Amino acid sequence: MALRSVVSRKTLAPALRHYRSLTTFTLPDLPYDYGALEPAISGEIMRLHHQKHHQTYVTNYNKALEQLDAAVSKGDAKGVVQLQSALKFNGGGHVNHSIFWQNLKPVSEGGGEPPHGALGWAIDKDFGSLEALVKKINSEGAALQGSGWVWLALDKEQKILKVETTPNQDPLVTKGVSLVPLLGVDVWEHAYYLQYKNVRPDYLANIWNVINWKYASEVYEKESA
Amino acid sequence: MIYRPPLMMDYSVAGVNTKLSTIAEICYTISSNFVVTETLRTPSSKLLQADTPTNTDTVEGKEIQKKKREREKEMVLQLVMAPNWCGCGVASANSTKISTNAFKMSSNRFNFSKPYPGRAYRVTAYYSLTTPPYELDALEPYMSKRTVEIHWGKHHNEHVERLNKHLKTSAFYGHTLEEMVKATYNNGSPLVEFNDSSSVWSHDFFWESMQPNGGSMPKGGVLDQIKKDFGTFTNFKDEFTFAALSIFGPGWVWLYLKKNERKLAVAPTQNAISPLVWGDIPIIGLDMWEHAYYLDYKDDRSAYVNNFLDHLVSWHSVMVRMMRAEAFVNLGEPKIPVA
Repeated sequence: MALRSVVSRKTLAPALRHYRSLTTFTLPDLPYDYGALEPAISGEIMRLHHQKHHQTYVTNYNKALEQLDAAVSKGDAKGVVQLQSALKFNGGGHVNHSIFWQNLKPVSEGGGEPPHGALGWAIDKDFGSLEALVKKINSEGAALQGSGWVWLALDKEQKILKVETTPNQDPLVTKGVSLVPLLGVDVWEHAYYLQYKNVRPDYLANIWNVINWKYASEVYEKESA
Repeated sequence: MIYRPPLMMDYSVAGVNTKLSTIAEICYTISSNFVVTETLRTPSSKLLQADTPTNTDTVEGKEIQKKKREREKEMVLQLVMAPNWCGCGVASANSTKISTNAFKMSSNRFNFSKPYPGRAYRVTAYYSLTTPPYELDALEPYMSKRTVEIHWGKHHNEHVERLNKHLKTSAFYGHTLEEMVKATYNNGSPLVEFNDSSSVWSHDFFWESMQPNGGSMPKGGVLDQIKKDFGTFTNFKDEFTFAALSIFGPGWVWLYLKKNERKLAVAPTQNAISPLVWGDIPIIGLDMWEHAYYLDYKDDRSAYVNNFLDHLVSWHSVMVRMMRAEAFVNLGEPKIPVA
């Protein structure tokens, strides 16, 4: 399963009202140490990124979900619609970062090894070569104004690979319902600023040393089956 | 620590500084916001270089040579007599001294829009990076020198350079920066120049919204206006902080004057948007992009905003901007004490 988030069941039910259980979320653990991705991404960045930023998204998403639940059960249409931007931002942040931690792997555990098998052939078919794909993702990531994500996506309907960008924390599905994220690169400044300052292209060039192509291959094979 | 009062936002031409680097190149700066680039150069535009050497053996050749020399002398005279920023000319050893009036009416007066008579050229102007009105380390410890160096020297600079690149081919060349921001916003479907022009404007505004030993309380009319529009000064601070922390993603938070309602208000904006795009007058701008605070505060945005309000915001700038805004917005009758 792509998301390794641990779900917990929480009930919001004061004594005599009807029972509704709301699934809330917790911060997933990283499958490696904070410092394991050095020197591509520093341990300080990983720690802050995971413990502060991702945690904030999870906390705020849970809060928004509780508010949504209350608004839905009250029939408050205006309230429901007003919460959508908070849900998209915080929920998207949780979803995107959960994928991101899976997309990274220390060099010692196979990070940076180029893809083989079906995904490798698909990349060659759709982009020409792995180098061309990396170049495309890097240029789109560097050109992105503001904050956002750059994705390697599988279009399930058209059965091709695409490179997409999304602004802020919008998840990939906002660019197309049939898009499945294989790799996502966070180009928010908090993802690289402490180490690379304003030089986003250096961050993008170095992150390929710790990209987990195995995960991308697994998702690709599962979704294109 | 050098502190100078903030510039007005109207970029009027402050003065002209001519500098002759070589006879064939002229590069001059108008205020700190315009750099006039050199003219298009044709191979024959080097002033004192003869186009083709004339054969002075014949009588005709000698005459042609004589005419060329006179022409060159005239052109040198024009350049040398070019007025410097205060309008007076600089005479060279070979030139003749003439009175100011005669100079102004003479054909020797330097024509800025046509520096090389008879040549093909185009004079173009671009934006340059304005310096903050204080030393780069003057905002310590609330905004470190490192942050200002990178934020100003790299991010702001990059926007200026990209804006200039756009201006080479843009239809909006010739607009003032404020006009260009409003026009390129295009009522919500921003054109490609919007991001960079608005960022340049907003960052200039941002540096001038701060000063060393800033913060604390405003005085007089500004305080009265804030109390009138927000209730108490603390209310204003709370609203400002709340707006700053409510932004999803990169953005700015503004204290601005609403023209129609004639009152101050606080609003957050996304990416590079500023109150200019909807026609109101910005009074304070705070950059809430991560690059503005990450090196100093990491993810602690509320500390950044609180320090800005308590120690950095320049109420002097606010006063000057409010004074200017009153030329456009009638904020009511002043309270004149009755004798």
